[in-house]
Amino acid sequence: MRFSKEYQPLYQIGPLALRLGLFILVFLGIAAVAVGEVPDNFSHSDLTELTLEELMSVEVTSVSKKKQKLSESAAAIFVLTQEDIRRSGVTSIPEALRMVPGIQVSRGSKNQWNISARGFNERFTNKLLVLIDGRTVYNPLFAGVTWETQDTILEDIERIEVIRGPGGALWGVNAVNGVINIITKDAQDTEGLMISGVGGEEEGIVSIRQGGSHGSDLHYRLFTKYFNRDTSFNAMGAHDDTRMFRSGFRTDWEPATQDHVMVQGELYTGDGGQQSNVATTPTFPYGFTTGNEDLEMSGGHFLTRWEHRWGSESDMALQFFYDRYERTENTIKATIDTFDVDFQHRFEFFRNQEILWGLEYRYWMDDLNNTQGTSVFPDSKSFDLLSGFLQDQITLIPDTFILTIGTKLSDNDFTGFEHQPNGRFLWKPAEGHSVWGAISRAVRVPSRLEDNSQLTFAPNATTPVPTRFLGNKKFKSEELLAFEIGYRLNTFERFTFDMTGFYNQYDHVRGTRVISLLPPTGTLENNLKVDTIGAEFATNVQLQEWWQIRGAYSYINMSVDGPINSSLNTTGRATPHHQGSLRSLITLPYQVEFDSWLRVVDKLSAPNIASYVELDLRLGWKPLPNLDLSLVGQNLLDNHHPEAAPSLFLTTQPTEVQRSVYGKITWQY
Amino acid sequence: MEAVTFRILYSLILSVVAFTWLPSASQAEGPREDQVKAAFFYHFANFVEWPEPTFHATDGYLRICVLGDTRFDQSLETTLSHKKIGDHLFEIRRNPPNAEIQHCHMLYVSNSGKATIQTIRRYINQKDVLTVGETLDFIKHGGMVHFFVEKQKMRFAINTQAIKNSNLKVSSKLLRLAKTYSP
Repeated sequence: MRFSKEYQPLYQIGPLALRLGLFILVFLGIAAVAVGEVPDNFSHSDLTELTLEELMSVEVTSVSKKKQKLSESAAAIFVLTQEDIRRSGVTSIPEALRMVPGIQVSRGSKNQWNISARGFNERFTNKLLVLIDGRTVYNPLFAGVTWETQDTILEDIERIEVIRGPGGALWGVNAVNGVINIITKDAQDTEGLMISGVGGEEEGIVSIRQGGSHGSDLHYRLFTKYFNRDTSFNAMGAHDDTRMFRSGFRTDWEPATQDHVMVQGELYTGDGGQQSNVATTPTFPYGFTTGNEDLEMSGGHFLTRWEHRWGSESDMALQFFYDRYERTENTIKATIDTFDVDFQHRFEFFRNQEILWGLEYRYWMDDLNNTQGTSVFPDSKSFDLLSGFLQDQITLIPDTFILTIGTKLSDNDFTGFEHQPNGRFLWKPAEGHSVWGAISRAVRVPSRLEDNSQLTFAPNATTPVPTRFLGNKKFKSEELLAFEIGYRLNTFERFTFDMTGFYNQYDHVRGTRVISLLPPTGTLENNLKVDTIGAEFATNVQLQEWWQIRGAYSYINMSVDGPINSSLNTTGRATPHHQGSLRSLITLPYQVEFDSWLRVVDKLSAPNIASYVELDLRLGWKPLPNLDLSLVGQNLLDNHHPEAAPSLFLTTQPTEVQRSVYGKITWQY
Repeated sequence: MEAVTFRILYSLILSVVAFTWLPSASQAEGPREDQVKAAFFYHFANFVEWPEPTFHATDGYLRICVLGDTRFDQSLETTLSHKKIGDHLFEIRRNPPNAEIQHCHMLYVSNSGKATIQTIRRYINQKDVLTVGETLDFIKHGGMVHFFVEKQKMRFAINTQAIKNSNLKVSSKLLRLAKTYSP
């Protein structure tokens, strides 16, 4: 590890202290109120002294809920449960996200996933925030997520909450188009030994978990997982086989009913094949060599969180994590260390308000090994980010009309101070019906590559000559003004329906500008304006007690405006207009399950990727209470089909998704 | 243009805050839904009789289990700690392991989170457990009691058939106050 003190001038301490001071001032007032607030309610009087008849005549208020029901959020939220994950037969987190409306998922290879919410789909999608148990999984090099390294034992995931649209005041700097929150089970819920094995022609996976407890307050689990995924298809021959090994633990300790301490850690290491074009000489035409390579990925994290409650009216969470990321490939080698401290506090204010505020400080340093293909300047640097948020949820009419307003303030090393306000309402005209709407502003802060870099690309489908791109020190934040409206029907246990419409206006979106024709050289500039409009639908129908249907459909249209010589014609073209998913979950007698999943994805226009329809089938059988067997067929309708366009940056050969069949056995003791 | 939009947005926010904070202080205050529900559990414990052996597994405690993504266990804890029904003190468990659900005297199934009807159904035919839920569908699927709010007042319904099939003895007073449901 190399520390970069030469790039950390002393004068920065001044502004930092100043910034800290400013934030503390802003939040001091709130904190003062919070401390002064004494939860009243009926906690001092004893309701059990009333007779049942008296109790039945007491008027109740249901204003305060410690944890708001998801069905009552004023946002486009969708939850994938453990049951969804299990019965879909998916073997990775990215595949599970295909079930979520409004999320675009395409696979570029066995170690490349393009995942976005509400458009801008590409390998280096940068407007999505992903959290795993509260830890931000953010790669500051390109402001996105390296999905190929995000994994855990799928049986230990409790749920995945997905919010499309700006994450509101609560979430981080790149929660522009959505937030994906992956929550693993409390160690209390994973006691005992579990061994699970997946075997098929495309992949082999082994997962082992051992959970236990010490007394009744302390629960823990240890886990380890290994997978080996086989090479996919490419007409020219593919090289994308991938292996990864990970091992970790999670401990949940509840020393008192008001306190919960969670500690977790994990290490992983793996390698994946790719075919890349790497520049070898500093001058045009850069002497590209094409070849197979095995990129190496490794890293780990340590996280601890303390949650404390004061009754049900007030609670707080203090969290710290350290994350290390290492990656070596021919075009670049990178190491990133991240330290993050996060504090949140929620309390009720008078009878009808709930205030949530928080502060976060993040420090990270990177160390890069520049090549002719990809260089970032300086090659080692440290950054810090200070942010805070404040949100007030006001119940104007109990159980009927709730208004939420808030803002996130942050100070980053690239663009300085940023503010992201949002206003939301939730109206429940009748039991089970909710209508919500939101207006929000969000920003996407520049990444290291956009700030100061030199990227050299081999000729590709969109640019037939070798091209060089330079970063832009004046690169600004991309801005979004989002308008959303939604309706949710939740009256019946047997039928739920959810729909959302949105209109997003983006400004200062990253485009390119030609600065020289020979040699062809461009730079990055905030020269595009993008408007997106779309709608998302989700429904859940319990046709019979033994038969459930889950459907999702989404539509999006992106219109891009900018100078002729920019990346006008390629931006947003890798986002399908229409996407649909239909799942049928059938529970048969004798502990047998039969599940099917049909997916339809529209074509991509630049470069051309045809639309596709795919079918997955799963047959599950539980012959013994602790033994689960299943047989799964994935992508059954084609031998192979392409899903993803090659990225313009760090171009590698895309591969196609093949049909696969696997068997799975899970044993719990 | 944009700066103006945000100035307007911020002033709107400020005026809404100013406006709503003023009247809120004088609002009438009643107990919260969860506090009242917790008190109902005290009465349920009084009016329901469990077979004596069920207390052997719990060391004499009257055990209430809470399933789902909820912190209702805390409301129960606050309301019922140190209270006694006969010789039995209360014990509250949140999301116990599946195998232990049969040892709960009362099982409260929250509407949220992981407790879906399918998973609950596996335990619902436990003959010694009083199952309490939040929806009509819950008792339609075999649950025994469900809470509902009517004109801001807490009510409950009892599935008489499910009670009949169980080993529990429910006092006629409780049945009289409940809305009854028979499939």
